[in-house]
Amino acid sequence: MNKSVRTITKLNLKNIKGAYIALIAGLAALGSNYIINFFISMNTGEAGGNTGVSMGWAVWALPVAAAIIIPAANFRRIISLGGKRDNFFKGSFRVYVLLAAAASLLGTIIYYLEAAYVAVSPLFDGVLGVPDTFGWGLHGPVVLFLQQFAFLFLTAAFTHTFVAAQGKWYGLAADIAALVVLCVFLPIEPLRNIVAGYAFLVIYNPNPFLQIVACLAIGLGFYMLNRPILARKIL
Amino acid sequence: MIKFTDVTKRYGSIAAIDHLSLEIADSGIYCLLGRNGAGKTTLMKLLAGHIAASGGEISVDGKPVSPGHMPENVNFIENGSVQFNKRISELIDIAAELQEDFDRGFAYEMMKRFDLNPNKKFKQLSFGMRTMLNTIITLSNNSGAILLDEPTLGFDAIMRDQFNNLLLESYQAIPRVIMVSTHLIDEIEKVTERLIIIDQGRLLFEAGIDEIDEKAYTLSGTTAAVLPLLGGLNCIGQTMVGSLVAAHIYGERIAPPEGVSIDRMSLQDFFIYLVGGKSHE
Repeated sequence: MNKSVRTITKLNLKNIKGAYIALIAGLAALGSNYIINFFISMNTGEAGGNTGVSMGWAVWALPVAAAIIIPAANFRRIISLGGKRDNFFKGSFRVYVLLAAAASLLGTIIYYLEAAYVAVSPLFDGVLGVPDTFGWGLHGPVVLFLQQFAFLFLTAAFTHTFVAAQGKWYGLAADIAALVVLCVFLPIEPLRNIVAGYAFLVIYNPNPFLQIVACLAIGLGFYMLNRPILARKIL
Repeated sequence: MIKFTDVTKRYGSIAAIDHLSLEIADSGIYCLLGRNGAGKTTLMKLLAGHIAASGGEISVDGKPVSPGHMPENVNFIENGSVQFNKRISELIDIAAELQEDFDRGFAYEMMKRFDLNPNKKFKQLSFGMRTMLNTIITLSNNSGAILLDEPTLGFDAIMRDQFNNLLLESYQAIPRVIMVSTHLIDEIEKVTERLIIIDQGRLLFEAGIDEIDEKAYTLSGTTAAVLPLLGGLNCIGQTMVGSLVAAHIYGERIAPPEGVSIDRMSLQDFFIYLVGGKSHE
């Protein structure tokens, strides 16, 4: 790896404090859910009856917030120090791979810890985790890690590209496309099926191998769009 | 070799650079002059590949320049650039890792001479100090072309003098193209070799300082004595006070007749008359 790419990777990892704060805040907020339930049960004398929301959801904040901060704030600063756009492209890619892997690993650990300690506790009827919601927990921890990693990479790559495009006509086009999906595609059934088909491919796919390959391929496709976008990005 | 061929840069309907052609073949310290909004920063950003031209072609050593193909051997940091809020020493170390031809020793030497505290964080720096840091980072790169945009903005007179000395030392150590845009014309005159003047996005003038020294002069005397001489001369401006006139000329020197004095024109006056181009009474 060239020295400049390595430096940009390190700089980006160090300068996403907002993403780390979002992760910690998310973990704290969802973790406090358990504590509050504990005190409610102490007060009412009744245990159970509540489904906890897993702390594993909070790990998503890390790659997503990083993918907002890196193109919006770090890009200009890195170029101002003499970094090259091509090296920024490569360095940021490595950051998203690392963050998606770290977040997925943390999410997987949280899932199994919650399954072992929280879900069996009399305080909760169960814990609503990411793997339970998307069906990623059926093939063991390694496949869960890979499925979640691939999806988080896709999400980070999409967010990075979306944010990097802002300020140009294609950024505006992307904003309009996102609004069209939300406001037109979702309410109309035949169009909704297209969105559902995409969600089935990258999230609910019963074949984990296909889900992983689809997420990585689409994520890579989104990220490659950054080359022309970064080339035109004004400082 | 830096080459602009019929380059235009538009922001909406406004042309910041308007069909500009320019060639810089030799190393040297070039002073880029122009009024506010003349297109100096835009020209530097185009050359560094920070923005794309709307038309024409820019090349460095024969390779076309664009934001997708930023030239490796051109170094430019825009004045007022915001940096990571890190210690100055850290920022210089990062720049050294990001840039291939960065001279860390020179950067630390400049820091020492400018009394810049390496432990201060970027947000703790005054405007002048921030400019200084950006100037140090840019000038410490040993690449083929260095672009300095208002590098002494916010500096006091002593710091400006130090900077000019360092600029000269840096150039003597590694001769290359150093382009400096500034409004402090008379100060840069001490170190610069060539002058490039742009106005309203167009190249107005380009020549060596020696040539300007030789060709730019002022004829003073009574209107009756001076005005008849101007017929065949390139008069770029006139100042009239009562029956006296000072005519500012750029061209071959003439032997003044009795009653007419000839004086050297300062670079600042030359710039004012050339760009302003107006008569004053």
